[in-house]
Amino acid sequence: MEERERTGTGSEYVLVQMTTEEHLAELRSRLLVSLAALTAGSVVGWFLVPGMLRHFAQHIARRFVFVAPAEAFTTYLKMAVLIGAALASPIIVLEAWRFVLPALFPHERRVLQRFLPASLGLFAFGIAFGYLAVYPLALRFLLGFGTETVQPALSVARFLNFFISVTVPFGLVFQFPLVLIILVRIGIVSVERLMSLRKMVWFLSFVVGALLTPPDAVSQVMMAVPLIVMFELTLWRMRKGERRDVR
Amino acid sequence: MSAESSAETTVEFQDLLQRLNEVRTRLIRSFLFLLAASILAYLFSERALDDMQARLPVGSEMIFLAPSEAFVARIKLALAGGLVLAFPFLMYQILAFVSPYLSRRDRRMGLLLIPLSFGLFLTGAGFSYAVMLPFALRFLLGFGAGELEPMLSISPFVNFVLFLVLPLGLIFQLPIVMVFLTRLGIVDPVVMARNRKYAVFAIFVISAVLTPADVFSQLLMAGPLLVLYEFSLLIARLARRRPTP
Repeated sequence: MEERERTGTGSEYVLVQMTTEEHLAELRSRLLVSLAALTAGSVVGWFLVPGMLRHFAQHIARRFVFVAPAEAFTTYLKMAVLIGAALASPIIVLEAWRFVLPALFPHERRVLQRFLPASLGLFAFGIAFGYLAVYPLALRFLLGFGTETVQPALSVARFLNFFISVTVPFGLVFQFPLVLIILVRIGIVSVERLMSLRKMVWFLSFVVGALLTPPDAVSQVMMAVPLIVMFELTLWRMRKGERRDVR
Repeated sequence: MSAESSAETTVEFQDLLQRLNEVRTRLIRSFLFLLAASILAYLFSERALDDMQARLPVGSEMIFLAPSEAFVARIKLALAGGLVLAFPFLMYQILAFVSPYLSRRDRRMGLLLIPLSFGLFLTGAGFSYAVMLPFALRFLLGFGAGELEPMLSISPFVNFVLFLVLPLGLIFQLPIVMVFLTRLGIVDPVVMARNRKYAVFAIFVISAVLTPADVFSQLLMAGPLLVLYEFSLLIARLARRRPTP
């Protein structure tokens, strides 16, 4: 293990033999480190929850309510763990990366080294897009249906679910370009075939948007349009690459 | 020969029919009793609800979010109350059905067990209602500060109370379970006494898991469980000392 770290920085490759027990022991320690990071992050998160709730309450311009006795407490816990997961994610990704690395051949490692940062970046970008663009618009759209006689008294647990459903799915859906690239690289579909499927992809983008977001038209469209844009950009880029290869 | 055996079968069959008939009448009787007890409990459900609400630390006003919610909550409360009230009767029905197969001593023990079990249930449930419920509510509603405003809806509230109160009544059946396990030789009081420290540890872990995450209600649950453990140990010793027939 130590020898490989000294010699193998990616280009050279020294096969390290580890027994099953050693692998399991390593897995155990990495899981424990990840868990400790998550716990520590959650403890920090617990103290950040009131500030976050104040922030959210400003968005809806009123206080939240809770309708079940334990609702406020469980929402506190859920938010603390979510913040904890966000804070601990660098450590968790690093631990996973270190665990997987010795099992890979150099070319696999090179592929992963290229795709992993892209994937994480797209995930972060998707979350940011959801939070900065979709969340305010969807919230304004939905609260706009309140009238003088129909007043919002938002339950905090449901609000948190709404918030998660307009941010997390965007992080996942924004992996779409990577999926396309990998499918083409492996040879499951060709660029030409993807182009002939364009209408289908556009249609499916709206279906996915409807399934993965809260039931309002705004967030559906705001998921479908980026999907289509990413599809077209990826295709355009890959076609350019192909032409260059031919030349 | 064949005529004799067929006559025997007929007798057996008649016997079976008789037993089935008995099951039927006992089931109908139990159901009717449960219904009557639930109706009785319904008459008191409004007062019970008022009393539960009085256990809230702050304003006891409550809302309901769906048109049928208040009604359903009252019915739920009535059914739970009816089940508790009818419990000794239901146990008696079961005992009466199996009594032809029991020895006189076991029958007497069974009859004794019913009020004992009911008493333990009421003690556990009463303790939970009088001591644990106000504590838990004060802790949980303590989060109703800053941006969170409590606006309790009746159905989740009734569920919360029932799930805090009824399980403790069941946990209080532990001494009876211990007697049976000791009699069957599954549990040994000597081993129980030797492993006390593990039991104490387990009790604190269970209490931490089952109660809201504050130290108060954890101790509140661990305390009675520890007493129950020692009590069960005592009972197990007594049950053991008697020579098993």
